[in-house]
Amino acid sequence: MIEGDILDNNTSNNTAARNTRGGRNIRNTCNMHDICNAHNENNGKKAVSARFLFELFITFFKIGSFTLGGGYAMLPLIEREVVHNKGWIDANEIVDYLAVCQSIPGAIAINTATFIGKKTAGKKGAIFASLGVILPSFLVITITAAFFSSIKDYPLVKAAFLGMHASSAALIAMAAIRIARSCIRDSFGLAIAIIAIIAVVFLKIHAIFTIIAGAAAGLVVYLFFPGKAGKILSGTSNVTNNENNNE
Amino acid sequence: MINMIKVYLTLLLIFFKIGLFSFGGGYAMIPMIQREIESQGWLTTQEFVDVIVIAEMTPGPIAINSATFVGFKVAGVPGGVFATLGVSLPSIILVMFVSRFFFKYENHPIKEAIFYGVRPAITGLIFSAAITVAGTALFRTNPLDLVGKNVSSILEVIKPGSIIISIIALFLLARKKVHPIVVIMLSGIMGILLYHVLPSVGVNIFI
Repeated sequence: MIEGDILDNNTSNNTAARNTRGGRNIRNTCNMHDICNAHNENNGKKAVSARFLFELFITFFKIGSFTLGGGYAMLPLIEREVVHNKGWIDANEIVDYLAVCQSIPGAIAINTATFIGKKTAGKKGAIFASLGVILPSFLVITITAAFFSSIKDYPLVKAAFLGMHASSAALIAMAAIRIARSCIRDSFGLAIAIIAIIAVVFLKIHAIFTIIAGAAAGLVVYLFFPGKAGKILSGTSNVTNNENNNE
Repeated sequence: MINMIKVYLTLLLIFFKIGLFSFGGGYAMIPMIQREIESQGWLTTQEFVDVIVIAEMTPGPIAINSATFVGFKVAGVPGGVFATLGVSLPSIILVMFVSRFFFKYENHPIKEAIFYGVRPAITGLIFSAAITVAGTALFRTNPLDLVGKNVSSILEVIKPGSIIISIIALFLLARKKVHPIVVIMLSGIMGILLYHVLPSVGVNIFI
């Protein structure tokens, strides 16, 4: 909503405002020009640069090519590429998007790619990011289906995949540890995380219920423990404060 | 020709339905895909099992992999295109709507409060994913299923080669900060070494 106001001003204003608001986005010396363009598109006012869309596509093509297993297996790559290398979003945001993407129907990988694409470059970004994550799968499977009667007949390929699967547990665990550093801030968070692990791994409860339970716990704290809630909200991110200052 | 178009449209619609009604990603889709395939008489059970094995093994989200594969088996490359489109479209459309709503309330205190509880839950889910993947990738039978059972040797339970690869991967990631893609490629090479090259010269201790 604030970006809409900003856009009514001139472009240099817009750039300055993005600088304040998106301090964390730009932190990683990602291309300023691209980010401005991207966010103009977010408001449907200006075209996003073709170069940025291509970059988005290539990034998600890379992520799709090396995602082995379910939706969470792409997390280590998103974390490295989108959060760390490109600085398009930060670690907390990626977790928020994951939560939403896990809670709505569809493949988590496509949901997440679309979400990040939408955030960084509007509707076009959403399309390019999702195409990027879909295409490697499509190509690999079409080639596999066309030329391999059964992957079991190719022991070399099978051995390579066995090795890759062995490392994917390590990859997801490392991503989980890094995510935990930014997402678990107190004993309350730690308790929720441990309950979620027990619920999903041992009690086989569907992931969506742990998310709903987490949301409910957050709401309860907000509604019934105003002191604690004040701390949460002031400590969430300085971006929120920046935004308020802008207003 | 008309028949082919009918098959393409059926693929599109069926996978659209699967994409729209499956919560929790690719693994949740498998039973739905199976039911639809059986009711259409498209693949035999054995063929379907092959599809799932390959969808899990090859890179890419399982949802897209299995959709592309089933589409290809049923109606060639165009079949693959239509099935893939079908399974992806609900995601793209839904996320467009949901994200607009999400970004609108991105800094609302209630949203922050909700996600204060949701973020640790998601962190737990990611750890759970790591545990689940480790359970199938590093162990012959899921260790959770073995509770209370007699195991004569640890080698009956673990895959030594995979454990070695995962430890090396963990070291490269945590200590050397190697890029995940490089780690995945290296572990593929180690997989070839431990599961193909060494067994072929008679060294079977890693299998």
